[in-house]
Amino acid sequence: MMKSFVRILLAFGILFISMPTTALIANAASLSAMSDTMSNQTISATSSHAIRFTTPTGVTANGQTIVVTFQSGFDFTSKAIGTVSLTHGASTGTESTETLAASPSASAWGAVFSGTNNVILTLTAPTDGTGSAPLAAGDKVIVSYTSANSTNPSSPGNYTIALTANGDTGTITVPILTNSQVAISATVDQSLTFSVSNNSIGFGSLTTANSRFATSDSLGSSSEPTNAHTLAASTNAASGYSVAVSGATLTSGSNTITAIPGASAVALSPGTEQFGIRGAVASGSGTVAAPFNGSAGNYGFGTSPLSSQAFASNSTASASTSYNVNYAANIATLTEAGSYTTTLTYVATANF
Amino acid sequence: MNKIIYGLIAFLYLAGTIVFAKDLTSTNFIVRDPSIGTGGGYQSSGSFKMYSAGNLNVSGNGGTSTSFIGREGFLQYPEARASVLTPTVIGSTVTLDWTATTVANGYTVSGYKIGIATVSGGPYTLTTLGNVLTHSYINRTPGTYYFILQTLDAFGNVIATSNEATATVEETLSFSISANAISFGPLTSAGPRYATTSTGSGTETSAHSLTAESNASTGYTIIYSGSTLDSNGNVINPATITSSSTGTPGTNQFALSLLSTGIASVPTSYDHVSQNWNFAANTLATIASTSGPAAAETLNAYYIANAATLAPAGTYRTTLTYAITANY
Repeated sequence: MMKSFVRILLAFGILFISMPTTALIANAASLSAMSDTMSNQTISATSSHAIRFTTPTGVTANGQTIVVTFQSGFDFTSKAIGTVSLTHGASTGTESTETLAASPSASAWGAVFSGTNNVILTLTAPTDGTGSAPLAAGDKVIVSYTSANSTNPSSPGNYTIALTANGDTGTITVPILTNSQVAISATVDQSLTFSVSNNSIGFGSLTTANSRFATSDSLGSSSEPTNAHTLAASTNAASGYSVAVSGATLTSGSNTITAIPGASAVALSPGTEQFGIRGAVASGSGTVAAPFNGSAGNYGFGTSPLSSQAFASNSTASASTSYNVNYAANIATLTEAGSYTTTLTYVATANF
Repeated sequence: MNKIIYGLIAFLYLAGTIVFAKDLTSTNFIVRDPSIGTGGGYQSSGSFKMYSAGNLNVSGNGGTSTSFIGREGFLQYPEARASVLTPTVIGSTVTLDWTATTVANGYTVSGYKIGIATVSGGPYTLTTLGNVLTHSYINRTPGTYYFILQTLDAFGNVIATSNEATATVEETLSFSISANAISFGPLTSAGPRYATTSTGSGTETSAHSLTAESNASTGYTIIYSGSTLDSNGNVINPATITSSSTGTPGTNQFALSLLSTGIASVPTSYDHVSQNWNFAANTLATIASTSGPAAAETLNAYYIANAATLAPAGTYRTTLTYAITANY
């Protein structure tokens, strides 16, 4: 009897010694290279998470899991599995992306939220233990959450994220700040510059023989000059500027020289009373409005007496634009003698 | 009789107290002047010799003659009482305080060696200190540490070893931003503007600072994200400026630069020391990092903006989000 007992004991002893060591020792180790990159660490803000770690053991068999547990305070209520991803690989940049589903299958990992406010995410290995690729020992793992329904705690402080991967464990600490943002402001002041190069011009003596053009020396000319004066305008207004002109036609007492009517420029006609203006862009960018936009020898004045009327404009912010402005006058045979004058007013308006 | 004397000596030695000599008497003998002090250090002479601490050597001559009195005595040996080591953990710093080693009869304390190990019993990494009573280990990664303190005599010999103290360092991570709102004030084409916490400046200045600390084994990374300055669709363009404190006035430029005051590394394109500025819009961009545990460090953030002549008028705004990632 005693010998039998000893034999049995010896047999168990031999069996125990011959058992593979791996069957006796749990494969638990510390996760390494752990981090959680968040997009926003402000209290109560939504933030994405990129949780990285390296697993010494791997997750390669049906039923084995990766569990991500955020400390109480985080809120993933209504978090959809579609906003979570799992990638892994032997080296950074060569990770395989796994398909996540409500329950594991041969081709998908199971992904289930649980706990208060879904702070626990359990990823269960595919039933074939492989999925897209085996999550092997030494793999670098990334569990990513988009910011959708990923809300930070409402109180500042350090919070932990506990990780387990088939028995391997680790924790990550993340800070939550009252405000992790910096609001930056700057102003660009409004600017508008506008100038008239000459405030007094003259035609000299008008005649029926030919058109007369105003010049800056007030002597006038029978040939069209480059300009009687210029206008220069610039603005940083996003919608640019507009220049308007207003004033009456040439007047001497009760006598006037008829302004060139109409919405379009008209060719000059010596022997007929005419007073008109012609503008053209000399430099920069801008547009001269009708009826002031005629070609050489074609002038317009619009209504008379001229109410404020668009003369030129630019639809965007622009550097200084220079406009050449010419004035032409003709008289009829019976135009009353006298000194004819008028004052035109130009006004620039920025459109901020 | 000698057994009695030696037993007394052994008792006193084990008791670890300082014994002052006195005559021993009985009705049968008189032991006079039993103690021969060695004075303030190791000494020797023809009349006595110290072999080593703990050894006892009787000097003088034992005598029985009636013509002389033999005086036998005790040679005191140097004695040291080890310090008591006490650890305190604050964040990633372990501070060790200890009581001064008590010495007598010849020893003097010249300093200490502090030892740290990650396994109880060592091996310890020793650091020689002066005659101080505190020492701190900073930037320790999370884990349990073991410490001992060795007391050194005048010759650098170890004469006492303290208790082994234990301290556990938890994960630490801190991050703060000194200001959450800054402004350039009015931008012009005439020269650069630098953001401040008030209305900006034409002189280069730091707008705010970031303070970071972590004992993560492979350090931390600070990132930022955000769009460039915008005013109803009009933008001040993100810029990359190299080796210039002004950028290019008269052009739309917005960028930032970072100055590290510690061990944090700033990417070259953001390195304020080199007057480099950069801004990467709408992405998570790394702006500073460490490769190991780092004590609290301040990083000064600078922001520059230039405006083109025709930069549309308006109030330009953006919000940058900073985040720190510890790499455990």
